[in-house]
Amino acid sequence: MSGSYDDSMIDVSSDSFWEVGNYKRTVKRVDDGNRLCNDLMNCLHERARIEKSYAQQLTEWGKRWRQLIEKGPQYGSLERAWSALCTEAEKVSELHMEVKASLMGEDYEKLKNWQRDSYHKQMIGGFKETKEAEDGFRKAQKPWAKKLKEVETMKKTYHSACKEEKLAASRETNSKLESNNPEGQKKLQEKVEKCQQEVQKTKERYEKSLEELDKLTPQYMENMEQVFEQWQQFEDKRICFFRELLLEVKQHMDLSTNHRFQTIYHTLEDTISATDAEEDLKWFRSNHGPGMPMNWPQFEDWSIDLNRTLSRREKKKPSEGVTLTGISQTGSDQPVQPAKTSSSLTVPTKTAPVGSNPFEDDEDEEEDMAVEQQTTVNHISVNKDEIKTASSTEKTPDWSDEDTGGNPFSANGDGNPFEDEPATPVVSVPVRALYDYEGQEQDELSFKAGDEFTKIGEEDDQGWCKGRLKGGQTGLYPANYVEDIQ
Amino acid sequence: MSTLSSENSPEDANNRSFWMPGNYQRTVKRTEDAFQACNDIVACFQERARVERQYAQQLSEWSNKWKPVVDSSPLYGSLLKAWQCFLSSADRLASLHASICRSLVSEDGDRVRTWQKDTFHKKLFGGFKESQDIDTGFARAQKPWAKRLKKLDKARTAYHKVSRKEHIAREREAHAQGNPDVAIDKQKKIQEEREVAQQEAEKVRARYEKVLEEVNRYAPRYMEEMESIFDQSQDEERKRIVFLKQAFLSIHKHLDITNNESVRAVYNELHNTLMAIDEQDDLRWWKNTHGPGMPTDWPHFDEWTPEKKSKGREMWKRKEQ
Repeated sequence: MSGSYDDSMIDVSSDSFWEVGNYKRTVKRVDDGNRLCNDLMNCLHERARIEKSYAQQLTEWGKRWRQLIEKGPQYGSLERAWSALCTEAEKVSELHMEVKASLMGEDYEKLKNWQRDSYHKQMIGGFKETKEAEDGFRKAQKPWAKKLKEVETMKKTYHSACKEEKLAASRETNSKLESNNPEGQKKLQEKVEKCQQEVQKTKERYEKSLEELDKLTPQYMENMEQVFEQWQQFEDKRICFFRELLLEVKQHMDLSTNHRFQTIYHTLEDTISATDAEEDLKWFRSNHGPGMPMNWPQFEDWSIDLNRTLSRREKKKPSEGVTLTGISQTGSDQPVQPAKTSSSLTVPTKTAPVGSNPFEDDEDEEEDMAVEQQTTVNHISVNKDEIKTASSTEKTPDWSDEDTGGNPFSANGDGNPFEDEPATPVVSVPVRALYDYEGQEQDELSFKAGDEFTKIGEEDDQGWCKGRLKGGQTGLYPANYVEDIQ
Repeated sequence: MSTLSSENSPEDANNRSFWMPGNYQRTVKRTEDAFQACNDIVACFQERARVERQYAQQLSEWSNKWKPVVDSSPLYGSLLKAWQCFLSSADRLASLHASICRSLVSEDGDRVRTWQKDTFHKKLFGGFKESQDIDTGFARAQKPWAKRLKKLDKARTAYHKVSRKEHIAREREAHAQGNPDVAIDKQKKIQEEREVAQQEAEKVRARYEKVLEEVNRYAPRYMEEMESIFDQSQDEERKRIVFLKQAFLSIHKHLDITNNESVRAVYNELHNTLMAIDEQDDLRWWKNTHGPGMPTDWPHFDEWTPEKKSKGREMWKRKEQ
């Protein structure tokens, strides 16, 4: 069907609306309206699906790359800019999802409802509206159509009478020329007359019928026009509705005028434009470059507490390290030499019964060595591996290697009778703190200088003893921070 | 790398410091990362281009499917035109999205690749000239410093060792002095030992201080040289950031269809076509073409003529209103 409005009517086709039965095109138009609704709904539905698919892909892309960027080595405002491009995709995706939602949720639904309200299915099939139109036209056309039929009949009769007459006349003429039977001639002549009368009669009847038809025509036209107008109105509604709907669809689809869409791109542009090389470089310099803080080497004095902090890191469980097997014994051991007692770095044991330091069995001349060995013991715990930082550390392995022939704790060959004991000895020596000590870790004791408590475990090879405070708490403490109580 | 991880102790923070031996690696790595980033960016936008292309394809297919359906449908008039316009606008949008895709790949992608090629030069056995240059530069600047640090370490260690010795000796002396339990000659011996230890400590300390002074004297030069290499790296990085910023802006422009004139034009035209839907026009057309407005020859007296077969539909022109 073309859309051309050619008002000059040169061609009068034989299927004019006014011909009987040709209102059917108008009836069909009613029916078609329903089908068009279906078509448009499908069309929208498919378009909505396309929008959804696009949206989903945008989101996937955006999410994936945002994660990759975050994990990657980008930094600063440039990273933000790149990320923003991904965010754009996600936001755009949202908008396309909204398009889809509007198309389906609003437009499609609206169309569906309108269709349902305008076209009512019949049980016997077809639509009520279509039938109505059909019926309406037929009713309007019926009387005129009937009359027309009559006219046609009259016409036929008249024409056939004319034909007859012509035939009779020519026969008569022919017989005149042949001049034979005057009786026959007369008969023929009579026939002609009779035919002429018939012609006249039928003509009159035909004319009369035609006249009656003409009289009916105005009413016919009026009725038909009326019905036609009714269904024009129906179509009018449909066209108007479709127009409204399509405008809304366009509105939903046209993101270029969507305010939020524009905002997305403004924001994106701003973020990218905010990329500031200097800012990023500055950040990098401060966080990974020369701007980083640094402890430049300074003079690091030695102090007595130095080894403590470090030895803790390497501290083994006291039970492991105890190879000293001082046991509560009878006083086979001499009271410790005064030198030892006075040394702050040793654990003097005046009373023989408990946890005697094997070194105390040594002769006098070995005292010095013992002392140094003791102190070695205390500092052995400092491990080379601890020394990574610039803060002062001890490298005791060097130290101890220098001073002793070996780990004094492996002094099994020294003949200490107590070293044959395999089990962890039970020890209970009253001791007094020489200095304050603050436990650095959970399993360490804390005490003040002068506090008295009980040593309940021998010193391990890192210089720690297990003790029990007056309050009952047990824990470790640096062996050389206490002295035995006489 | 967008967040700076927090350190638990000041020691850790110091360990990570740029100035500590070996830590310039992070700056060297930045150059290598930059190369990889180019690949990533190209891949990133190739994928995006694919998304756009798919959308374009689907729009095209949709349009092509519905065009014949609509054309052969009972639609007529301005409404028909409007629906056809919908389909053709989808077509145009499709080609716009396809061109976005193309420009992302060919313009933006190519630009990044070209820049990458110009900026990074691969070396025969792996790595890049650019990152290697930086690495070499740093290594060279740091070597003398690292050497001195090591020396300092040794000196400090030695000093601490003798300090402890001295301390012990002092303690012993303190306990021994005036102690009736300790023999006099023993006390003297202890005192001598302390003196020896003390002298030793002083000597070692002096050496430690000297080494420290050497180190500190060298520090400014070390800093200067490291800074100089670092600045080089920063310059390269600056160029990269500036370049990428432009690249991103270009990508943005391609993606931003709100500013795309063609897109606007598509929708404007569609809008106009929709607004032009005129049901009165359409109905009138219908009436004249298929309805009561059609011309018709009303029945008239049809004379019999012997020549013609009485089909009798003569064309009488008759205009209806």
